[in-house]
Amino acid sequence: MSHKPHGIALSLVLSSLLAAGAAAEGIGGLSQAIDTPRAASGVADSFVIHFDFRDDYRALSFGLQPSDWLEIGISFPTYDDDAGSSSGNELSFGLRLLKEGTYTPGLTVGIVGFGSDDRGSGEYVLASKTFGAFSASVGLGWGRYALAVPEDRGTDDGVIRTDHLFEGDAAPFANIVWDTGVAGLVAAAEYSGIEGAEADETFAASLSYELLDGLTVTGLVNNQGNAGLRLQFAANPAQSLAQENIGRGPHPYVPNTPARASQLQPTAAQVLALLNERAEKEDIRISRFAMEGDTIDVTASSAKDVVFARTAGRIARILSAIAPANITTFRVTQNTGAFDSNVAVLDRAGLDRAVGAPNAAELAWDATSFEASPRNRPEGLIADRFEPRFTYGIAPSFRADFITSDTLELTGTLNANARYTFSPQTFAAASVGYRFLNQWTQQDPPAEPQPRSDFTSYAPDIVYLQSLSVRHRFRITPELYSRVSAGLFERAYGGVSGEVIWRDPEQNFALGLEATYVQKRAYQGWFGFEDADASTLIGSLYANVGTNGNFVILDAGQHLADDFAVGLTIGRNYRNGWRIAASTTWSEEKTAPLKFGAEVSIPLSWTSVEGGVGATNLFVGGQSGDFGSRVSGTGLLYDELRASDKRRIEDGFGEFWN
Amino acid sequence: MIKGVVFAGLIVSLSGCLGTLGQMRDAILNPNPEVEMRVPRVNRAAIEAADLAAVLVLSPTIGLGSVGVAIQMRDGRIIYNANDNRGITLEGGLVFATLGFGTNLQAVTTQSDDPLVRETRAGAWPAEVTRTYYIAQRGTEFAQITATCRNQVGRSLAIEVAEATRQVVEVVEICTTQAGEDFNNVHYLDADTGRIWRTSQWTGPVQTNIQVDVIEQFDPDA
Repeated sequence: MSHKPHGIALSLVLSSLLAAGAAAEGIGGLSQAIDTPRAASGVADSFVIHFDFRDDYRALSFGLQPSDWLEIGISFPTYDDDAGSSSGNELSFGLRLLKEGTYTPGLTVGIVGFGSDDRGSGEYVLASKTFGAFSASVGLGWGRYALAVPEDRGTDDGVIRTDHLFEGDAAPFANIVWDTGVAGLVAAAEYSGIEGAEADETFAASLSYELLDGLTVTGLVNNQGNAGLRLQFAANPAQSLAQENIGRGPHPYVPNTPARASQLQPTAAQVLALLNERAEKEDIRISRFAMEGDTIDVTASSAKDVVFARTAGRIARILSAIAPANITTFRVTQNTGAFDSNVAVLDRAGLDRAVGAPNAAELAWDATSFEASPRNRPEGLIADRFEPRFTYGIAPSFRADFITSDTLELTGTLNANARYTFSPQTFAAASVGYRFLNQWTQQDPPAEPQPRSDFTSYAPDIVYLQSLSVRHRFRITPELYSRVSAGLFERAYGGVSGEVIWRDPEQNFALGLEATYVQKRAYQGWFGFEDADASTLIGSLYANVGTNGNFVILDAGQHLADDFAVGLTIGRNYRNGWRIAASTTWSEEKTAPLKFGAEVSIPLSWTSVEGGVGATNLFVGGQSGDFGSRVSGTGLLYDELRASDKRRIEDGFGEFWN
Repeated sequence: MIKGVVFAGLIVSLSGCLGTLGQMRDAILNPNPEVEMRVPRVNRAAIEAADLAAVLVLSPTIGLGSVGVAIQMRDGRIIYNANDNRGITLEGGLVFATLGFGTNLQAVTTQSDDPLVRETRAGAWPAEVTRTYYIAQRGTEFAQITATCRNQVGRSLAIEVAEATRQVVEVVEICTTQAGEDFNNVHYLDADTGRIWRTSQWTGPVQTNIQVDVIEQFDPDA
């Protein structure tokens, strides 16, 4: 059994968040000290998710930083007060007008809740300066930064107004943030001129603790008698989450010289012993090794590094130093868990020419070719003996669904996942969910079950069985991958599913076909079914295009409502394992509107039952409507094989020598 | 109104004044006093007894120091290797590549008369030197950052490099990349030959400056 202390810690934190209380508000996804704004981090492509939990206020906010001078925030707040509950969607902008210099302050202007007539609307201007571990901001605010509950701002009968911006009552604010440098603790204090229930001005303090890389929990309190908790996840898809500085360099590369041929040559057992010892220091696991003729064949994987090119490069570096002089080819096999997918065939002489050159990665790529891993290989000096194992983890999952065509409402679910793996190809998995954030209005079950539009009829706010299924994956030929799965795939459907994918490692596309028969799951309880079934047959084209990690997925076939539909997904794979995609679906059903969806996938080892380079996902829209919908949770093979795409490996080849 | 004046005053008080060349040098060689440096003890006697070419490499951004020993010569460049696979490649006195000190520097290309490569005495340096730095990015092509450096000759002084005293001349390079980013290098050249004994060179936007102290020079005839 493997333990996930971080996941357990996270669940404890989230549990405590649910019990937290009392008001004050975040600022719509933009950079903030406590409840007053501060300058953006200055790092382009930063991505932040905030959860604010107070007694009368809760919000999920996303912050994006397309460049180092612009922040965009999208927030989904819910306010509870004497008048009841209200929700809104807020769009916010922070614009850095003046960059902080060595001796001069930065200047930032922000508009929060633009186009919203809710109480979250406000504007600010601030100056900021960093002094070592201290960051200070002072500024002037309007709307929410001047009044506890601003009114009559933003829209007028649905028409977006701008005449209120930077108008009306204004109040000063100031904040200071101190990175203590101790155990990830950051302290903040702030002042704002907002009059509250207990004082004419508001003073607040907070203490943040970074639980895991990028994941921070903050406790905050103010002199108005309020307190709350905030959970923040921050990351940057353009920057590596793995291997940025692991405290050691890669093994020195040693070119193969004629002089080496005259020296005593090591045996296969000696090479394997050295390879194991040195690869282990780099968190690389060798699961198969063979040395025959002029070739060394290695199956290698890293539990921490999502960049296969770097793993292959590190193996090549070690082998360059320890392989006999007559070895001319290093074959490094990529393993996805269930499959040995690609073999990267590295020409040793080509690597000798590449190392140290200003275009070393290009030359190394030229020295590399790809083959499909054979289904059966002669036994190597070592071959992995799989031990059945039980693993588990906790993963948050977020969805923003279109309740109607123009109403986007949010749910956040905490899933406890467990898996028993019988063999590399076969496992049984279960997931129990709890919806800790819910903007849906609960509906009674419909008279007739619907494919998707009845999703608000499923019981909320109780622990429920999300999925319970068995999955087996196998290869039919070296290029033909297959999967069968059965059980409860998702909250709404259970049944059986089969899939076949063809992929050639030298090609930048793959073709797939999935057939599924499912029964509608009961609205209440864990195991029941409704009297409704459906079958789907969907063909898919997966293609990598361009050189920036862009990809396209085209799906077509019979969907859940017995309708023919075509789906198009376009997205980008970032070199550190992030994936961001948007999709649209067209259905032959004339009354069906075009569907739109988006997905952000972030590699976080603590969310994955398998640990290592697992990912968590954020979904917006996509599945909500009846038409053009498919069953999720069947285990589409491409999700497992996409890291083996040649273009993905090429994308990472700049890291080959790192 | 009074609050407005107070806050305006606070904003103004965040401003400051400009520095000097000496401050620039001190800032480079002592960039962040809050990062605790772990510097290994150098056993000069052992290095001399073993007749090894060796360097002390200090990375202030990650607070790490390593002693590297020359293990290979490739294309005229000397590859020094240290513990934990950290390493540095020197082309003359130019830091050509680094490994294991943060974000690896893959290579540097420079003009044929680069005084860091050619051992040039302080007064004889060309007015400008242009170098291109190669750092891994997405895809098979490295990112290239080209910088042009002007130099200023500073004081003559004696410095201690790993328990040995060297008579050197200080040269500060003021560099600007094509994107407009500025950085500076500081070199201490042998007063007689122009050979580098200590140098702090920029090695990329994340790793920034790395300091190299030459404990024992590489002698190809040794």
